[in-house]
Amino acid sequence: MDPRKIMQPSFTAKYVSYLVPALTNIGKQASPSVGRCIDAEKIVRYEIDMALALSAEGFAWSHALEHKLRLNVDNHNHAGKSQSYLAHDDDHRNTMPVNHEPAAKKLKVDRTRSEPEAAEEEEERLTYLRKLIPGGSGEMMVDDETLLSELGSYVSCLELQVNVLRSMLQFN
Amino acid sequence: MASENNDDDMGLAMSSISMFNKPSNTSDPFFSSGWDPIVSQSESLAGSSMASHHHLVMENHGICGTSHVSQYQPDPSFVELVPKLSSFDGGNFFQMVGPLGLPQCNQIANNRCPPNYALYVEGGNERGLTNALPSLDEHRISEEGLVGSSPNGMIRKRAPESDSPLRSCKNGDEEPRMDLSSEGCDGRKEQDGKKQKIEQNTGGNSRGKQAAKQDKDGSQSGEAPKENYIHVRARRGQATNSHSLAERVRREKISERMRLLQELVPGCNKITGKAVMLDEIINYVQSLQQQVEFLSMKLATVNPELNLELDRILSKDILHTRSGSAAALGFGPGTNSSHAFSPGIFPGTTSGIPNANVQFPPLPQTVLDNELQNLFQMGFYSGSTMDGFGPNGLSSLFRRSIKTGDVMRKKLHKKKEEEA
Repeated sequence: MDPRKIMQPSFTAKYVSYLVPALTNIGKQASPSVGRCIDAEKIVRYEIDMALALSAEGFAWSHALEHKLRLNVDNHNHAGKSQSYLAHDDDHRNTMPVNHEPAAKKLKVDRTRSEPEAAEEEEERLTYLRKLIPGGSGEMMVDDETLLSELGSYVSCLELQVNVLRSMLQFN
Repeated sequence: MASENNDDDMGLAMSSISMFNKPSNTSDPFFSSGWDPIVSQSESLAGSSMASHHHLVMENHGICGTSHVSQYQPDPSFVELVPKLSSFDGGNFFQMVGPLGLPQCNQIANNRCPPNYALYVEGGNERGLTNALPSLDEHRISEEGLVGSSPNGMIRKRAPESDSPLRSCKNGDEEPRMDLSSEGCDGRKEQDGKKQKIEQNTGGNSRGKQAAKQDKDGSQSGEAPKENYIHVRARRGQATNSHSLAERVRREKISERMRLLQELVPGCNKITGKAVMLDEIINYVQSLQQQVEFLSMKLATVNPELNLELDRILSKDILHTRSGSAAALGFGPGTNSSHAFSPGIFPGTTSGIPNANVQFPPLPQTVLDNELQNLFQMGFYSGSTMDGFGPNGLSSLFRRSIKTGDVMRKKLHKKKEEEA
């Protein structure tokens, strides 16, 4: 049996069971005013991320994500919840040309040339991936192997998260 | 995180261990279990050679992604674990899914596993995965994976591949093993060696009959490395330096992971090449994250309406009376949380509250498997029959679900705090 299918319902159930009450609580706490709209987005984003972290326990990235979220909450308690955990990575996104074609061309050239260059490229990409995944630069994911397996679980959970959010919005 | 994992006692998968568990003397139950003598041989060999080994912690013990087996202590009774562990599928984090469907980090702590034999599952699965790769000369790796990973469709060649590891098991004394520990390698390499050993043992268990075949093939493979622990076959003409062998093991593990990722990321079947594959992964992760961001913003805009509707509905007096009868429905605690989120209940608009007879809206299959869908439908119909009229029934259902959701959330938080 596909192990992902085993994980999927439990993740989905946990995710939804966390998120829906959290969202309804947001509405109850906030007084209806325009100024709160911005906060609502951040709060919603926080709850979405927290739901992800809590629904996929046991992975390095989920621990790192939860830790980061809680830290951000403490730091920005009065200024409203923090931005998405990816916010600080926005700058990095532009530094890496993540366009498939140039990379492919580069790769072809490198292959004909030498291995070290290809290895360098791989290293580049792995470094970039570390920035994408929560906790990627931490000590738990120093190994490349660990990083790749964490990536596997992270990608799966992201997919599940997207599906849950989509279906939650589908009927509104 | 590491410490708590280390302290975990053998968990769910250890039901298999319980069958064999003998804390002190390991050989006897092992042999008496009727396993192949080959395995016992390798075990004794391993025991003697690894006697000095200390407690080794798996490289990723803190992370569920790699393997169930997180730690092991110098105790030869581990081997019994292997065949059961082999029932777990795939590599990396997939293996973490236990019976609860939750990633089980290190719950399969091998308190009694000798250092040799840890990480069977990981090694096995990886090996099994490598089987699919056209790396035929790497007998050692591919064979070992077979035993554990057979349920997984990824293991293609079981029978013919189980040669050298078995052979090495059989001729434990004769076959030189790579003594990574003596080289001062890091724990990871040791674990690799141990992994392979374990697999060899289990391979021996289930493939004793192929011993003869092994001998043949074993002699055909490359030079035998003159080391102690990991029986890693060197390819012909390749260096038998323990470092390069360990490096090769590591590289293969990485390729294993890459293959798994390739299956996860859509549209990567034809990609050959690590850098390109990584590119695709990067693109995919970024696109998923952007989607989450977009959906989150959308949800934030919808949310106030959602809450207003709820407030309006929940404030009705009728709800208070209804919520009592909702309890009478006998919703199991496990089902309530899923009930809350049947989309039909979400009062996005007033018209969103259907009457009792409305059909349950079909959810995308990706969100709910059939099981969950049944739960939803069960809850929905029960709610409607209870009240007979949509809005009240649904609201009370929703309210109760919110309560349960809150309870669950608190439990989750509590659990997190306990673990932290």
